[in-house]
Amino acid sequence: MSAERRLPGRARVLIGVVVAAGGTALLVRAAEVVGWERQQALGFAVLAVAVVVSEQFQLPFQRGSETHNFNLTDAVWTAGLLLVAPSVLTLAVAAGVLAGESLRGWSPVKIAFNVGQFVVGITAATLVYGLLDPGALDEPRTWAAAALAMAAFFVVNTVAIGLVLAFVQRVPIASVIQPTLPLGTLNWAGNVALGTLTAIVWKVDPLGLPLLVAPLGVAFVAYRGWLWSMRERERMAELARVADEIAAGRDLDRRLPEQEPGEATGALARTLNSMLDRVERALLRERRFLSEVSHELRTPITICRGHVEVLEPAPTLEDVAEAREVLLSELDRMSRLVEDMSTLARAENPGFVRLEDVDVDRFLADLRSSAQMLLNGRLAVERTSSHVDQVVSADPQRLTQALLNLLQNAALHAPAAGKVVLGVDREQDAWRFEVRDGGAGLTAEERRRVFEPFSRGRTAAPGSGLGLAIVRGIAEAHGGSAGVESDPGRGATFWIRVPA
Amino acid sequence: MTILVVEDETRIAAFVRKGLEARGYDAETVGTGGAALARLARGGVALVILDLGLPDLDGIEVLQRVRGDGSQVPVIVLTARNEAEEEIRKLELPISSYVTKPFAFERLAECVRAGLVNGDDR
Repeated sequence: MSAERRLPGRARVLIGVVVAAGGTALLVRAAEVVGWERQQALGFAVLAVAVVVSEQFQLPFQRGSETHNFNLTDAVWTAGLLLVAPSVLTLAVAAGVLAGESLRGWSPVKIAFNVGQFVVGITAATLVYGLLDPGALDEPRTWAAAALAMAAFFVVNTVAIGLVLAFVQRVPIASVIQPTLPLGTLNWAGNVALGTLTAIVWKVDPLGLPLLVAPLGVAFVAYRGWLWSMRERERMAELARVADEIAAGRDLDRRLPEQEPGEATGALARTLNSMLDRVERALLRERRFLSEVSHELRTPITICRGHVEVLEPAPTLEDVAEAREVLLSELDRMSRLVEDMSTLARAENPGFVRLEDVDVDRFLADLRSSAQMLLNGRLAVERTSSHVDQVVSADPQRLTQALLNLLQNAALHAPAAGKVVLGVDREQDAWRFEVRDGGAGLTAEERRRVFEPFSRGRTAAPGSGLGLAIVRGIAEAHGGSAGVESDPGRGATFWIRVPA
Repeated sequence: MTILVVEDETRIAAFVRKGLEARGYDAETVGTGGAALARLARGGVALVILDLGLPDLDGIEVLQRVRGDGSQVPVIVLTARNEAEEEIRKLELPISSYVTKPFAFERLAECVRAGLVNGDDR
C-alpha cells in the first residue's frame, strides 16, 4: 500500500472523483435491477463471465516504466451495447472488472479506479448510443451508432488513465497518451468490429460463435508479433543510445540493460556486455602494466641521478670511474626493460614468429652451447621420447629466446651448484620443452601469477620482470602454451608446449 | 649521532650515504627491516631514512614497530609509490617527511636538516 500513499494530491483527487462518479452511475443503474427478467439476469451473467475471462488474457506492451495491456474486453462491451439493456451492461462491466482484476491480484485502489472509470465510460457509451436512436441489429446505422458510442467510451477511458499517469509521473498528459494512441486506436477499432460481429452472429444463432475463433486466433498472433517487433525496435534504439553514451564517455564500467532474457535484444545486450567486460579488463591490465613500468624505471633513474649528484663538489678520478660504471650498468638495465617491453608488445602481432621446420637435435645442440655460459656446466639435457618425428615447426630464434629465459630463471633459483635440467618430449600432438630446477619452488599464488608482467617477488634477482611474460607470449604466438608445475620446497618445472 | 639509511637497493644506499657524509653527517646503511629494527634497538640513531619496499618486512610494518616501541626518532619515508603516503596517513603514523623516487639529492638533504631540527610533524 506504500505505493498508493505516495500518490500526489491531484492524482488522489482524480481517483476519488472517478470512483464517486462510477459509484453514482452504478447506483442509478442498480435501481433498474428490480425490473430485470430472467433473460436480463442471464445476459448479465454471460457478459460478466466474458469480461472476467478476457481480463485474464492480456497482451502486455512495455513502454518505458509503464506496461500497457491490450485485451478483448472492449469487444465484449461492444457486443453488450448492441445486445442488452444499459443497466445489464453497466452492472456486468462493474462486476466483471471487479472479479477479473481481483483474480489478477491488483491493488484495491487500482481496481476501484478501474471499475469507476469503466463504469463512467460505459455510461457515456450507453448515453451516446441511446441519443443516436439505433435501429435493428441488421442495420448498418446501428453498427455506426455502436462505434460512435464506443468512441465515447474510448475517450473517457484514455483520458482518465492518461490523467492519472500524468499526475503520478508529473508530466504533461499528451506525453503519456501520445505514444500509445495509434496502437490504442487500432486495438479499439479491432475490438469494436469484433464486438459488432459477435453481436450479429449471436443474433442469427449463438452456435455460429465458434466460427469467429479462427480469424480471432490469426489476428491475435499477427497482432502479438507486431507488438513484439515494435518492442524489439524500441529496445534496439535504447541499446544503441546507451552504447553511444558508453562509446562517447569515459565510464567503461557502465553496462547495457539486459532485461527480458528470452528476447533477442537481451542476448545481444549480454554479448555486448561481456565484450565490454573484456575491454575493461584489458584496459585495467594495460594501466597496471604502465604503472609497473614507471615503478620499474624509478629505481635506475634514482640511482643514476643520485650518483651524479653526489659527485660534487670535488670528485676524485676514482669517484668518477665508479659513477660511470654504475650509470652504464643502470642504463643497461633500462635498455633491457625497454627491449623486453617492445618484445612483449609485439608478441601478439601476427608476424611475431616465423615458423620453419627445425631439427630438434640440432636445435638442442645450439641451445646448449648458448646456455653454457649462463649455467656454467650445470645444464643437463634429457630427451625422453624416442618418437620418429625429429622436426618441430617453430621460430628457432624465438623458441631459443623463450628457453633461455626459462634457463636463466632456473639458474637464479636453483641451489648454487644444483643441476638445471632441460627436458624435451614428443607428446601426442605437441612438443613439450621443460626446464627443471631444484630451487625453493612456488606457492599456489605464485604459480597463478608467475607469468604476469612484473610479478616477481622482492627476493628475486635482477631482470626486467618481463622474462616469463615473454616466454608465455612466445609459446602462444606458436599456437601453444606455457605453464609451471611446482610445490614449495620441491623445485619448479616450467614448460612450453608447441603444437606438433 | 647517526643517520640510519634503510634501503635494500645497495646502489641507492651507497650514494645516499656518500652524499650525507659529504655534508658532514655520520651515516650507516642496512638492507632489511629486521636489521633496521636491530640497529635502532642499540640506540644512537638521530634520524631514519626508510625505504618502503624492503625484502623482509614491509617498510610500513617497520615504521609501525618503531612507533609501537615508543620511539620518536624522526623518519623520512623513501617511496616509489604514491599510494604509500595515503596508507601511512590512514594509520596515523607520525613521520618527518616523504621523498618520492626519483628525487633530487638536495631535497633529501633539506628533509634531513628539517627532520634533525624539528623531529616529527605531529
